Amino acid sequence: MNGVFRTGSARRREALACYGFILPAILFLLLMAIGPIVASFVISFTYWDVMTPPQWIGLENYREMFLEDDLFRRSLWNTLYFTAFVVPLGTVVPFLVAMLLNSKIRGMHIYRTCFYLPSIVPVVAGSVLWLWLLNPDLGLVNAALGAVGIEGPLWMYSPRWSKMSIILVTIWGMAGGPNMLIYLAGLQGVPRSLYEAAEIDGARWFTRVWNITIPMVSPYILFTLVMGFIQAFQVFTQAYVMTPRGDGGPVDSTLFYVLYLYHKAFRQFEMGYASAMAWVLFVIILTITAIQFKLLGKRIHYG
Amino acid sequence: MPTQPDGAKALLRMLLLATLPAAAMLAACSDSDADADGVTTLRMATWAADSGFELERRIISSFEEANPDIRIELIYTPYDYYTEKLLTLSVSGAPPDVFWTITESLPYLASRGVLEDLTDTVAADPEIDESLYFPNALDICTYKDRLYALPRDVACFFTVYNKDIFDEAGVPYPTPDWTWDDFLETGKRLVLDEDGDGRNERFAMTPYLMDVIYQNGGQILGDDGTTAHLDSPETTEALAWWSDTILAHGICPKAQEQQGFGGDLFVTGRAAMTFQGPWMIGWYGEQCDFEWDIVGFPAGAAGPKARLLGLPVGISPRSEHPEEAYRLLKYLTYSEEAQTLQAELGIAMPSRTDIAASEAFSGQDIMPPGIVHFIDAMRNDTVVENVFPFYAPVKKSYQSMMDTVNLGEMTPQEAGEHYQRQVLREIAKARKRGLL
Repeated sequence: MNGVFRTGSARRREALACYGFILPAILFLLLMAIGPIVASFVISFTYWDVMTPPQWIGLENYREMFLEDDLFRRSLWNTLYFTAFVVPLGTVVPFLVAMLLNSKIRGMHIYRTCFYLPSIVPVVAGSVLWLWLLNPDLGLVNAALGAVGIEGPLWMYSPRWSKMSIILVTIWGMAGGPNMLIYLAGLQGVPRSLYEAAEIDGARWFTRVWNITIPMVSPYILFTLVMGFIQAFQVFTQAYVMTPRGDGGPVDSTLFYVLYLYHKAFRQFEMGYASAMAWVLFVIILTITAIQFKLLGKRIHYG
Repeated sequence: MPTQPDGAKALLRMLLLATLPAAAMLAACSDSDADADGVTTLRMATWAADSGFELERRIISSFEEANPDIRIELIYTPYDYYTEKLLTLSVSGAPPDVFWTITESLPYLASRGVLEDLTDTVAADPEIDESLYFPNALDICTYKDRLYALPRDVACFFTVYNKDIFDEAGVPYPTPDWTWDDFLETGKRLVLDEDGDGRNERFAMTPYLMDVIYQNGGQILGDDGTTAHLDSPETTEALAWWSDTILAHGICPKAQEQQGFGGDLFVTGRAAMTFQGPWMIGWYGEQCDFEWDIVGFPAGAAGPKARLLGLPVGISPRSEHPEEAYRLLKYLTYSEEAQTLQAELGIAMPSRTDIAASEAFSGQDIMPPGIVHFIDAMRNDTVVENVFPFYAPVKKSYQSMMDTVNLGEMTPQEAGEHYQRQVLREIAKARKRGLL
């Protein structure tokens, strides 16, 4: 043994072994992630139906998307609408649930389990369940509304209510989901001494929440906001499951961006167009994320 | 002191380890159908599921018995992903030798070289008499005047009616020469609002079908695919007529009312009539505890037109065993044995007129007397939809058009104009991309 001092050749050997160890992961990343990402960018400038060689058409896919395609605009609008509800609600509702579940009362484990349960239900199963709950004539939701004298809407059968139905299902899944867990962990990390000091100063409940709780968990909120936008823009499963044949109906009202992308790629076999849509979505998400960091980044308190 | 493995060697070993599973997978994927005992294995793709798959297996078995040199491997893919899977298999160089085809995808698959052109083979085959097929049956297998498949079964929708409800309401049964006006008159007398809440609990008919467009002389795409007719007076009128049965007369249920009552509205007695195809006859026989019979469509201005539906079966141009594949194809789509067997097993209506009219199909115990009207409709009243390689987005447009009108969101004129523009854009695009 040479002790702690290693020779140059031993170090090189070690480095080689190291590369050997990480090689499978790097190969996997190159083949399964980076390769397809680069390929999709190139494909987005072509017309490619998988069966025949791609035709280079330059910016044609992008031109068509922005200038001609009604359904592209429709799907973008549907997605923005969905995001506008799901991101704020998906932040506030889990936060409130986390606050409730952070209080010290007996049987808290049971409450925590109950609230967490919906997020264990697979999205597909939850969507099918809600499809029945939201049935306009037979469903429990309209029965409950009817009991208090409100005539319930047509939910998934009406182009005006279908998006709201999917938002409802999504929030139901999110209320006790991962965001709630993240907040709960954050809340438990807030030092008790801060609250005690505030109480001594005579701060009321709301003041304590506003001045202590929220700043202390702000990094978690930023994280969930950023992830929330990214996930909301990629909404797919609920609409795919809750509409016949995954059509995004009625009348394209739940045709979300990624669902339309899927239709383009795998029903109409326009891989070029679908790739172009994927890159536009990437740019949209990137921009929104950058704006969030810019606006909120400085206000975050990293305790 | 143990010798440390040399760096380069270690790297190599690790590379090998990493690639081993991949290599094993590749080896497992490669073809191995060249059997030593001279038996050829053909792969055949189908979307028949569960019990349907078992029934298909029985037809295949009878083929294997008669052809001991061929073995068939049936591949199942769900209907919803069928064309996608077929394309993927073709691209990866492992297409099935023989495969079912969704009628709407046939032009696309033909234009992309996934289907073998059978025109000359079939024309030169002395055993095949094309006139034995139902009229138009070969048209659903044809793209640009070339034959790419043979029809295994054909069908069209017809009217099924609940005789007990007609008797109870004192309404005469529909006759084979009934019209749209008769349908309205009959329908208005069949609806029932049991609890008087202004909403019907019993309807005259279940959902709409796009056959109404053809019954009024309308069309979606023109014959050569370069024109669209979603806003033509014939199409608009048909849409208006049908949406009125839902929105104005209330004799047909709205979409939510269909799901709302749960189950099949016809079987549960919630609808006095339904439009269905021959594949439902066996099931209705088991489920319905009332008397029922069948009759053709009511005639619109253009007659009681019905879209011809069917199952084209094709062969891959890449098949390594084209001769055996053709033998199987001919057996399934033309042979008396298989066509009779599929009728007896209750799988589907044979594509050959003579077998459909024979005891094997029409003479079965489960068949109601009105089956003759269905056979008549198949002989005289079918239309073939104009389908092209760019059909998928077109279908999406006309479905949205019908939905939006039936929901009362747009008038038939507005919807016709709006979706006509969408379809025209698809045509222009198809032209640019060489899909027309």
